[in-house]
Amino acid sequence: MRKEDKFNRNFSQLFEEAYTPEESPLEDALKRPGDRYKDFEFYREGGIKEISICLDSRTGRQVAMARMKKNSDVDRKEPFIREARINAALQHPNIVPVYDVGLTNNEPWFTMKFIDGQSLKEIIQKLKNQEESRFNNLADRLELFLKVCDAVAYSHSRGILHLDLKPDNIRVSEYGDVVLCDWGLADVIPSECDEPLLEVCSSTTKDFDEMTLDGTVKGTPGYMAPEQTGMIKERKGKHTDIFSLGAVLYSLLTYKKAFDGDELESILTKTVNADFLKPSQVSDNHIPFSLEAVCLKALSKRPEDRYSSVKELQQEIRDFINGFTTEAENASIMKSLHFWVKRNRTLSIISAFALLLLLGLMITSIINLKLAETNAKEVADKLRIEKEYHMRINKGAAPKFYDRAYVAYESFQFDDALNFCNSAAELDESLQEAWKLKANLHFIRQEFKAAKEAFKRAREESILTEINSEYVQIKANDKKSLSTKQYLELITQLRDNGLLREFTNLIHYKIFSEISLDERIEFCKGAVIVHNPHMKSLKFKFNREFKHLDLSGNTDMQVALCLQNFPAASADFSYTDISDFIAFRKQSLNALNVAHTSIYELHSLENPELRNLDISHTGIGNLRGLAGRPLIKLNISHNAVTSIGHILQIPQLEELTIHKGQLTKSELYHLPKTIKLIEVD
Amino acid sequence: MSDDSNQTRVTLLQKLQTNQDDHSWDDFVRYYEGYIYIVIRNLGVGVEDSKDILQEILLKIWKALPNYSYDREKCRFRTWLCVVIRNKVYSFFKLRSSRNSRLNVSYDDLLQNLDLISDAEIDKIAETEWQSYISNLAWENLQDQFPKLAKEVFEASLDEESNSVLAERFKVAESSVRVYKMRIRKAMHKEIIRLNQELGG
Repeated sequence: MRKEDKFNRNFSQLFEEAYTPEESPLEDALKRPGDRYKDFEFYREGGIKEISICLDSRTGRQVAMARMKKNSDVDRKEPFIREARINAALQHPNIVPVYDVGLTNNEPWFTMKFIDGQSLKEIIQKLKNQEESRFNNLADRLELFLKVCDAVAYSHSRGILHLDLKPDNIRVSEYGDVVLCDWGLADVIPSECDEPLLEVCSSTTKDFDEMTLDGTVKGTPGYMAPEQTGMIKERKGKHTDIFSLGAVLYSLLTYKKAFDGDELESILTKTVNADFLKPSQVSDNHIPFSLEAVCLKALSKRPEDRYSSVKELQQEIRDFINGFTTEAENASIMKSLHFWVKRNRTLSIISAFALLLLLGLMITSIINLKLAETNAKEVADKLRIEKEYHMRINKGAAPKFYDRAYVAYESFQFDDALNFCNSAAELDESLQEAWKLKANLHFIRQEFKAAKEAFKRAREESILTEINSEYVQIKANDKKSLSTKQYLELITQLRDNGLLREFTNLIHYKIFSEISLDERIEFCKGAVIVHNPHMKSLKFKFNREFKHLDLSGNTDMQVALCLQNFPAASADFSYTDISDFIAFRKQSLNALNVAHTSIYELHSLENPELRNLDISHTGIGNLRGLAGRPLIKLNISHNAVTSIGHILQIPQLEELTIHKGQLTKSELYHLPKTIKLIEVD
Repeated sequence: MSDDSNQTRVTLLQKLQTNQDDHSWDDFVRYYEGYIYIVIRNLGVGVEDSKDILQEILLKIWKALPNYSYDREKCRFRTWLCVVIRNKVYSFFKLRSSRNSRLNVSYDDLLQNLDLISDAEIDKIAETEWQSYISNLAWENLQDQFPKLAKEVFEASLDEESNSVLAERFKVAESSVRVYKMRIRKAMHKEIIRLNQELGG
């Protein structure tokens, strides 16, 4: 037996290792081909995204990767990337950093820092269960809260609103990292953001609709602000985040939600009315009066009653921590004294003589306090001046905003248009077109007062301004809406004055706003008549159970644009005088009957879900528009169709109705046997 | 594998090709005998026959060596070695089978087996055995440099991946296991690369 017979075969693994060059393992790791991210481990999921922890093989660190959930709507791609871009624009120690954004197999993803720790929600839950935690101490919780405020104040300074602030979105590591995550609902204030971010400004409703996927309002009930419930008309802004910060502070003080309940509806109602119990009423914790006051102010119903900036809110908390009295407490001299003594306890107990001396000192310190206040005012003034200067510099950008506003207006995206318009007018107050468009937009929203103001700035005088002034008298409060009757009167007036674009705008605005079915039916009934002035009466039936809309037999109805977006599943418009399919846009129709109408082409037909279509007795002669559709039943009898060509391109067709002699024998020969042919006289 | 910059260096193999004296014969035997032996064994030859055949093959290769043109692209040295070995083993048994057909050993079977070994398989044997041979040689050269405990931990680590299990078994800290492994591995890698180059890998 030679020694070679006893060789340890395991050594050969070293041979291979020796030649997978170890000389520069770090450089080679970078050269190594293959996927950069590996070892995925599911972490958590949210509305449209799923977070996994994975290894970044280039940097060798663990990162969190957000990807869209499987089966997500393709429409969500843009908002998803938008979130990544907004988040990436924010570089702050208390905001989760985005490392990379990319596409793999056409699916977008982004990676960010993985914070190994717990969410504030979990921390609060532990505190509530009276488990030991390093946040048992209020001062520690406030310190954490201040870090969150830092993050929000910073993002506001960059013109970005978070709009979904809640403990669940705040992550805390063992080593003091406090980061704000999930910028999925964030929005950009166009006039305040950096130019590159303008790219992510929403300009179509598809990008950024008011509702989340599941149809609820955007935000998290319990932490959202009244203006996010969709129940009142109020613009979202920095004040929205300030409200949510107030709700977070509330939870930090009491371990409970400010707005809670079993049903969503009741939480939302409470939120709208800012109806909540004071922290001291719901908690056994000792809640300092000054902090409660801060909480109440931040949670005010009216935005103007809340703090005007995060910094202001933060300063009050800092003042509390430093033992100063907060402004919210309406400091009395005694309070000041109390805190002053607290800070100088040792001194205060030395002797009466010391006390006397103290009194002297105290007076000076109060004077100092006043001085500090004056100083603060001066600083604020300086900031304001700086901001104004900044705005002047940005004047040149105003036309750009106006252009975007105009494009949005042209495509009936009125909310976006107003947003851009406001920014344009804010940046350059002398830009008259912007004011004029702004006036128009306010008019569309029936905010007549604001419209009047804007018309004045635009130095515009026309029939429209007259009508507007008239309606300021009728409805002075811009936050209220017109009744349907008033609305119909208004559009009639527009029609009669030849203001056709305004007429269309108002119809469009109404039918694409969130209105109840009753209101919609009432409005449509009226609007069809207004649109077809020669009509004497209207037959209008809607079966709510089957969602069947029946306007058949209205032989003198030529236009029915107001029925766009009507929640019908099937529609019968036979024996009417309509000449195109535009009325059916944004209706999810399965079945449509337009027999005996003046329609002569299919060009305007959208409704991709249609299964059953009756176009008999019309002027339609070309079926190209039906190719590739999922139609099951089709009636083309007594129209101008004579060729089978495009019918063969309707893959799922089961039943075809024609009149006798419409198609020649040889044409019929090519018809698949799977299609049932019905011949009528 | 090895860098172009090393091409100009004269390796042991190249020396053996040009310098065929007694001294270099000793070197040749020292370095290649072991490898040739394992390959013979791998071809299915028993221990006793292997010893007989080894000397013959060593001599044959020694003679053929100056004619072997070193061209890595075409054929690796170790593959060439193996082909020579196979052919030699083949003729050795052919001779045996005709002469000693009365013996118990069935040389015919062996020959048949040898016939069945394809070039690809020769390649594979050449490769795996070379790797094992060079690595073991490297370990032989190096192991005395390391303390006994480190040696044992390292040898055990070839079968056991988990550092914690090793730490438990040898009653040392896990971090020590890591350090032993890393140090010896690095030394081994260097030695393997050196030997491989010298011996014409």
